[in-house]
Amino acid sequence: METFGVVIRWVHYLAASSLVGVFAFVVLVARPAAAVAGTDGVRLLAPLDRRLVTLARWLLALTLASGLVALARQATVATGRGFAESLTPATLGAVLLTTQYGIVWLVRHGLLLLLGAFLLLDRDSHDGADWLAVRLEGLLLGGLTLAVFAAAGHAASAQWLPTTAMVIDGVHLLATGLWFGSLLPLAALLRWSATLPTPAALPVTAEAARRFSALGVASVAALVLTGLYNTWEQVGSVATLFGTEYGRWLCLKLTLLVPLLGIAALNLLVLRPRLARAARTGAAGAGLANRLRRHVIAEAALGAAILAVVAILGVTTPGRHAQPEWPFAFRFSWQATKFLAGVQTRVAIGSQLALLGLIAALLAAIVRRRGWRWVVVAGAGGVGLGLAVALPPLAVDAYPTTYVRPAVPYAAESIADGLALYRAHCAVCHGVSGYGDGPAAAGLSPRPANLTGLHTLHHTAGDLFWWLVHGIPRSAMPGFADRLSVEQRWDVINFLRALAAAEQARELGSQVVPELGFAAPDFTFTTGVGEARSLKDYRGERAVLLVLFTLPESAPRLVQLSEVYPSLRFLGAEIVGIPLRRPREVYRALGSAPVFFPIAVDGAEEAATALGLFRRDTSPEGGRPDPPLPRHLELLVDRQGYLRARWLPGGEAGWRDPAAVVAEVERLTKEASRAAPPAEHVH
Amino acid sequence: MRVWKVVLLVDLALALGVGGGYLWWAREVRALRQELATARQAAEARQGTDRSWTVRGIVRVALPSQQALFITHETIPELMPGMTMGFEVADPKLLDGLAPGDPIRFTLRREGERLRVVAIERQRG
Repeated sequence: METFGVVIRWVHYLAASSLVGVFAFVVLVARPAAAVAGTDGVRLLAPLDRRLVTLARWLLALTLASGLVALARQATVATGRGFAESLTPATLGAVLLTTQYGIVWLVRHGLLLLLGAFLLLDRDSHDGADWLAVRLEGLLLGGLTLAVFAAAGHAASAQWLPTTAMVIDGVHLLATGLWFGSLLPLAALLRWSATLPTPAALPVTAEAARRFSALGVASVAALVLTGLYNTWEQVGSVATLFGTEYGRWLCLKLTLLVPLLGIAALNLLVLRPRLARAARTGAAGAGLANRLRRHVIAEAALGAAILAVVAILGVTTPGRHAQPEWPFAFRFSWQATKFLAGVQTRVAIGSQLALLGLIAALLAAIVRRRGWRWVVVAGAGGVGLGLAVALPPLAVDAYPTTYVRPAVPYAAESIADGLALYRAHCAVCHGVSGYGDGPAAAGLSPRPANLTGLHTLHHTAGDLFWWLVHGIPRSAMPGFADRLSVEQRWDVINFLRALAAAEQARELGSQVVPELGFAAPDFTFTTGVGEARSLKDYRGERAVLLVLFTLPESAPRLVQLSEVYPSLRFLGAEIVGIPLRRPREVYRALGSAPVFFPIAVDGAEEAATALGLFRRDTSPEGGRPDPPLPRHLELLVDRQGYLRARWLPGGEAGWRDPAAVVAEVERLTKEASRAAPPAEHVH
Repeated sequence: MRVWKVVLLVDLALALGVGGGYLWWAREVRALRQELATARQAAEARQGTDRSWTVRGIVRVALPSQQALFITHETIPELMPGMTMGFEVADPKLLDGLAPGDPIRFTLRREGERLRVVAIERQRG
């Protein structure tokens, strides 16, 4: 069924895109080229024109027939049953009228039927206006049916700017038709022009080649640009390009495109100028025309193969929505290697070399002075050598799960669970602090890794996942596949991410510093009554001051903050209180103290555990590897969801005067730079 | 009739049909939206003056002398989101025996501009 679906799509693509190409070719290439040979040429074109219109009729019939079969197949997909049960008027009606696929199908096939009527009208019109009207109409309606296709493809479900994605995909489809569809007609024309009387043959052939080149170059430029956008839209990353089924089919498509573009370039840069020269000088050019014809047929074959891959892509989940499985044992990472000795120098030298080579080759190819070919070759060699110097030091180990997207979001609940699992399974070697200094660490070689270091952040979450499952060879790190469920592994990874971030966040003080911020773990809470809220809900709306407190000693501070609460609200900020102990008793413990900002009750424990990790600072007390949980801690989260400032009472004056918090919030509101909000998952 | 005239007429009809249909549809949508807005306004006006809600909350501070009660409450539909705020109490006797942290169900009545708590029912905490 799957193969059948792909084949029927392929036939439909082939026929529908060829249809528009035939008309484009007749109007834009064949007729003007024939006109070079005067009225005789136009008269002699008539048999070829008839043949092309007949071809168009067949293509139209094939498009309609394959469209009908595709509709029937879609009905079986919708019902999940066989053809016999699915092909009822009710099912077909439902598919046609209630699905996007059906409506697009109706529009497209309606337009095709209209085109069919015009093609039947086109009996033997040699008259200029009638002749042109029918063919232009073919170009218009054929192009419309092709472009409208985009509204039923992957582009229509794009998450970002679906209308733009559809328009761009429509242009892509149209350009495909204009180029691919006019290849076979061009081959037919080249055969026809060889039969013309001698003085006319070559000029007509040369003019056809010139006009087709213009059409081809414009189409290919559009194809490349829109194709790049589509790739970004549907695949989005190198990981998904190489790691998903969709991405690999796309790689095959691009691989097929290389010889196709090579032949096209050969035609454009070598054969066409020679044809033009032969046409001017009257030299023999039949061999050239024949060679061009063979090239064009090869191009058409490659194009058909590409459309087969496109048909497969159409029924494959786009890479963006699939889990990538990285196929290589390495990846290139500047972030993870830039601190290693010699890497920066090698990358600098290599990249400069490659750049110089590229510039030299391009300049030589454009200027084309004597011996330019050697310069191009040397430049290409320079590019190769430069890459060979620069890339190897950037390579770091990678695993099949390296780019896997975490199944559990970076949130307090997961981090708190991860902390418990870490204490049970990991702390014995890696230490409660994460410094790799657990009780069992002393006898191990190599030493257990310090999990708080910057390097932890440079491994992808998927790397950590792989090590948690399989362990690390030639070290004491075991695999935990039998002890931790998939969800628990992500909990541990989320905890490790929070731990490493907390270690980096030691430098966070009570003043907002531009560019310094750490993704705040999300948490969900209620005030003990009513619906749950998440920290994420404030994104893009409000900065949030998180106040982790202990009663009774924090009560005066809470009252103080409540007094500036209206000012903070006015500045677009919110305060959320998080009791560190006994959240269920918080209101009773507060008594009649006037505190009006929301206080977390449900969800407070997880939030306190996760956010409490960010207690590490540079003070004598907080500077210890694993400082005790403080009684009171205030964290300022900006509108984008980044932790930007922090205050622990006891040390510096900081926010002791609540006016200082108001000043920091005001500073946040005035900040011009807007970082993208942190991702929902760690990576 | 010549073929090119047929082609031209059909294209014209198509363009007019699609364009005209689109414009008509846009006008229709605008009219429908307006109708919806008017209906919504009317509905709001109808329930605008007198209405009462019964929602859950937690007692924060009770001030019998000022006939006021501060409550952390859940969303009050079509009035306000969940928050902590003070309300006027219709009868200070309603506050008898209420302590901070007590979960309650309370009834809020709006009469004209006036918003008051008219009933309080204690929940099991």
